Amino acid sequence: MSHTNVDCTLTLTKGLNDLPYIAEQLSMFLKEYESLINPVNLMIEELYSNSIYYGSANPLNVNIHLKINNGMLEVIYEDNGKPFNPLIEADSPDLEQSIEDRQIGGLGIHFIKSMTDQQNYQRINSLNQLTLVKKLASTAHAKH
Amino acid sequence: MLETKIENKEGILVIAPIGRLDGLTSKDFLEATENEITNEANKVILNLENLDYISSEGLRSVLTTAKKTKAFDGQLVISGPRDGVKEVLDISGFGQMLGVFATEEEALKSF
Repeated sequence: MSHTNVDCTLTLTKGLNDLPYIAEQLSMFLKEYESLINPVNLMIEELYSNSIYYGSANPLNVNIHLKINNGMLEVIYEDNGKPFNPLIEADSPDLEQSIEDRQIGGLGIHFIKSMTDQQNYQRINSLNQLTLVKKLASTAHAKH
Repeated sequence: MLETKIENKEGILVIAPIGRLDGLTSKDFLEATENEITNEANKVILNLENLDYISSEGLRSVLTTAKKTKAFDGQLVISGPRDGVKEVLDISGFGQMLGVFATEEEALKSF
């Protein structure tokens, strides 16, 4: 089997009801990169939840471009919400707190920063665009 | 997309979410568990052997449940997470905060 590149697009408009659709699409797009399905799903859900709850876009329109090429995964996430750079504006979670004091805020962006090697935010016209890049370990590569 | 099995094993509540614990299903998990934790049933094992996926919204429902056990002077520990879920528990600090056991048997012995 030859090395497989991935190049696909997901369009989301339905809010939380899109979550099963995201999972279903990723299991198809990434079927040769099984270990990436959960991390990519997580990054997309966290960003999409932020867009839904804080983006104030009506109607909300999210476009996600997913690419795997030369051992690199690239996720480009765009929404039409108000200008927001999650890389600097999201809360930082305190990971060491006790159960009683622990909060959830900021975990999504913490996951994204932990699971990718590069993150870049741009405001382009009326869109927020976040580009995430992850180098793939050799075990995550497609079978040859 | 999420089913929650609850069993009482020698006074310890074993709660097993099966499927995906995310922004869509976390409320189902909370509904299934909210009346189960009481003064008498305050020790919980969250068996994650059959959980395929968890997001921060899923973790929020786990945290709510853990806080409830604490309020009743009990404890919630985790058993058997698969690799993908375990990674999320590690990165979030939840694994360290709650305690993770490889199997339900080991978790039962810890009480």
